[in-house]
Amino acid sequence: MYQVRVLTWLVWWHDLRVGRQLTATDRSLFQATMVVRWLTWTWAACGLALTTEYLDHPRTAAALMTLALVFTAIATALWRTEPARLATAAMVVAELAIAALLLMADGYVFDEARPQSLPWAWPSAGLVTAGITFGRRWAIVAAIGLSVASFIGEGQNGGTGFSNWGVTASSKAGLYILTALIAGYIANRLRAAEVQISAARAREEIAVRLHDGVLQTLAVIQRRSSDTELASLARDQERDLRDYLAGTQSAQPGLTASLRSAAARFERHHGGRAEVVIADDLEEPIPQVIDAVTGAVGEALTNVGKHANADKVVVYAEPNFDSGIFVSIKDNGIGFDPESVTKRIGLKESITGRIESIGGRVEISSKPGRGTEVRLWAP
Amino acid sequence: MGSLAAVRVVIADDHQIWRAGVRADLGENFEVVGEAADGTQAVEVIKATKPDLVLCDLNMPNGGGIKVATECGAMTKVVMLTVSQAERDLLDAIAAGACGYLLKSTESDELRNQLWKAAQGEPVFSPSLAALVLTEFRRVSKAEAPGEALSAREREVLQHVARGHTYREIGEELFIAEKTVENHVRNILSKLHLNRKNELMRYAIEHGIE
Repeated sequence: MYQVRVLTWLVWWHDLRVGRQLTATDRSLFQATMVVRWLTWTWAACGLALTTEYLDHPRTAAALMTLALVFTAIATALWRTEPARLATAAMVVAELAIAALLLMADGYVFDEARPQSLPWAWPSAGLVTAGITFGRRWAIVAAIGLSVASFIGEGQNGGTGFSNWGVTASSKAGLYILTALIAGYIANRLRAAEVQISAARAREEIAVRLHDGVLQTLAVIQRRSSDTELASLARDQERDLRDYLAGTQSAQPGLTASLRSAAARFERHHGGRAEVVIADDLEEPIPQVIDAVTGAVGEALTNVGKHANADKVVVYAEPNFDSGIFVSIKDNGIGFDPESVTKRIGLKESITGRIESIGGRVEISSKPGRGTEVRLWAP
Repeated sequence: MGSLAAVRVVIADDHQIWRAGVRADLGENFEVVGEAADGTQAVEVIKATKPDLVLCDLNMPNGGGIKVATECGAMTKVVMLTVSQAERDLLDAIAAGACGYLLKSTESDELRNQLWKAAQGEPVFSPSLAALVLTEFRRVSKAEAPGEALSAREREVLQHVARGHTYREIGEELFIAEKTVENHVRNILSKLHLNRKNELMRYAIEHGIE
């Protein structure tokens, strides 16, 4: 998914500056984090209220909790009015800084016997936002930052030994990194899915709206134009559009796309018409077979162009009875006498060689005045 | 129908430019007796003019090619013109009673040629249509769909059409008369027609549609 990665990076670069254009996915993820912020803050506040007897510095604790509350409220207000602002570096950094502050103050506000941490799970909302907005990498950086903060916080008055405070801090650190990983991963996956869905939807829309009109126009041009170059341009465009609508354009060209471009090459070089007919229950062969078959078909078409004097060729492919594929290349040219050995040798070397190398076989039949047909069976 | 008389044609297509283009392309062997811009209008014009041949766009407003083939397939020869092999629809149109289809990008000479043959009663089977029908019957024989299968000979004939052979070439290769090849093709069409009809009925029964 090279394209998706490039896209993600571009989006990331853009977001650092202006805040991104939010997608529907982002909106619902932000809504979820908003709920998490309020729930975790409420939980932390209740926890604090129940454990006041362990507090060394109640005012500082109250001030810090208020800070977190103010941020939560501001974020909620933004989410209602300008949700895109939530996805800016300033907001994400501010939230993480507050979270770090709360974590670091932990050991200062509580005494040694404290039963819970000051912000409880509130920092996780900031991590998730970082993951959604800037991806897994930066979310992990943020998680490491928060982990350091919690080590500092726990260590401050956990003088009784590492086993006491170290374990708590480590498990928090693990939790933060895990949260960051999951948030970044899910956000990326959702975004990639969204890109794919919208591409498919765009294709569908083009198919519905343009299908008839544009293909129609291209057909009119092909049939009404006396300019052969214009007609062949229209034909190429028609083929491209149809491939796009069928969704056959991919990074790895399959058999259909390869045969179509071989046919297009033939039309450009030799001027005849090459029709590619593929049974739609044909399963995609392995790449070596595609290469060999495409090569052989290309050779056969070149032969047609050079010797057959044909104006029409049909390239046909279907699944073979038991397994593998059957392909035929049939022209309506002058044909040749099968007894005349010379022409067959040329055909044999270029076509048979390729197909036999992958364990297939080739038959060539022709009759003067009845065109030539090359048939090949590949595994 | 005397083969010297011009073939009387109705052109149904929702694009005026296309109708004008085809009209100009048909030449003197064809006489355009009517035009229609949608399915309903096409059925009316066909019933009024009783043409030898109907050239019908597959996708038109108000029913389109499938409606025209269903309602007029028995009284005249309906040839579908389409911009692409939008499979199911095309197969449905053929099964509904169209006698064949041509791609709109078919060159003028070939178009005239094929339409002339269609008017003489020869099914217009392009390689891609043959491939579609073959696939449909492979589906049937794998028992994914109920229906009558093709005989070995019919499958052979159909595969030759898909490979781009003319009826004459098929006859020579299989040592049968050209007329016999045509008959095979017609039988294949009626089997297709029957299978699709049964499938539609089964679908209707399964889904409680009366």
